Amino acid sequence: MANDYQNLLDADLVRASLEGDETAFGEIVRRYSPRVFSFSSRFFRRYDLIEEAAQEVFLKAFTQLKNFEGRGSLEGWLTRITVTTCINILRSTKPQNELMVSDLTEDETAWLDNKLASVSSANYQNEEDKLIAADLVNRVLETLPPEDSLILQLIDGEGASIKEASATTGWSESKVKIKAFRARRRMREAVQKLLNAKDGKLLKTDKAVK
Amino acid sequence: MKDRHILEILDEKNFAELSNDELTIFQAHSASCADCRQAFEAARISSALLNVRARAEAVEPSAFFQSKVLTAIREKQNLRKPIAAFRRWWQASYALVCSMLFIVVTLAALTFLAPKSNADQAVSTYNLYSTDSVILNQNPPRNITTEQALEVIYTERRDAVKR
Repeated sequence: MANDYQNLLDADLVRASLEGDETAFGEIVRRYSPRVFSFSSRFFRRYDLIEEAAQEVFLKAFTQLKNFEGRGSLEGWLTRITVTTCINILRSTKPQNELMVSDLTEDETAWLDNKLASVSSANYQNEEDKLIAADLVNRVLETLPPEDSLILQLIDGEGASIKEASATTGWSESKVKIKAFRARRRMREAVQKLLNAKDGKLLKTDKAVK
Repeated sequence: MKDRHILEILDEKNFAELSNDELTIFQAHSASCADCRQAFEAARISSALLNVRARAEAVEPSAFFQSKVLTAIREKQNLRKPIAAFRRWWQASYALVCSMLFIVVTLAALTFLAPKSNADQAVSTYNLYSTDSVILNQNPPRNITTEQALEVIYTERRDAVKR
């Protein structure tokens, strides 16, 4: 029975779901939950929050399924719902404060030092470094508005074009360009502040040693 | 190259897409300008961090996620049932309910707003002239008609019987 649904096209699954076929909607969830999870994880770090957001996305999709006109792909439609839902959840929560150098762990500070010293990005390829960097980038991204964080991850992180980012988010291309411009500046300034604060801290330590 | 121009290029372009020529110009300029050097370093680190983020392992849904979603949908539908039932009842019977309301409102209007009947007038006359005064011709009313006199008498009797 489940195999029958796996062979159905998205349009058929949507039609069946609208007629009240729960298994058909279950197949939509099965088919697209990895994509929704992957997108939600760009906004949240904790697994329970990612899962909560993904569940909210599918609940919204179920109630709004009659509005899906089938012009674009179901995947694109669900991705746009994911973007809107995650941004709304983040907006409703308390904004994250600026990341201070005192918030960084020793490993993260060491990673920054190492990164400053290295010219190529190939110097942090071991798994431990990757984890430290992943944690650091998440913490920096959390200090940015959710839209900025998403656009940076899409364009600068994953190398998506303006057109692709526009299709993914449902925003106009000019909006994507403006957001990317502002987001890069915000992220650069956030990192620059960390570096300045870190240098200041090092200078103080050097003076104390002398 | 002006500092502002460098910063604008850094904000405008993905760092990974900067050409070798642009990078050489930036580095040359950064050697003599501390602010631009810091901005350049920050942009380089930001780009490296975002690359790490992009290569992070994908988060997969748990095996129970599908059933969790379907359960949540069922719960939501159950919450909506009473509202849906009321809506169906209203669609079926709103004409009847409206006509009943119309009758009640009309009756209320007729009761409170319509002009008083003869009986009401008789009662008010009764309040002025008692049966005794009418029958015994004590303080005979001047403008009272026979009909009104009889109405007064019958009304008082009716009230006496009720009491």
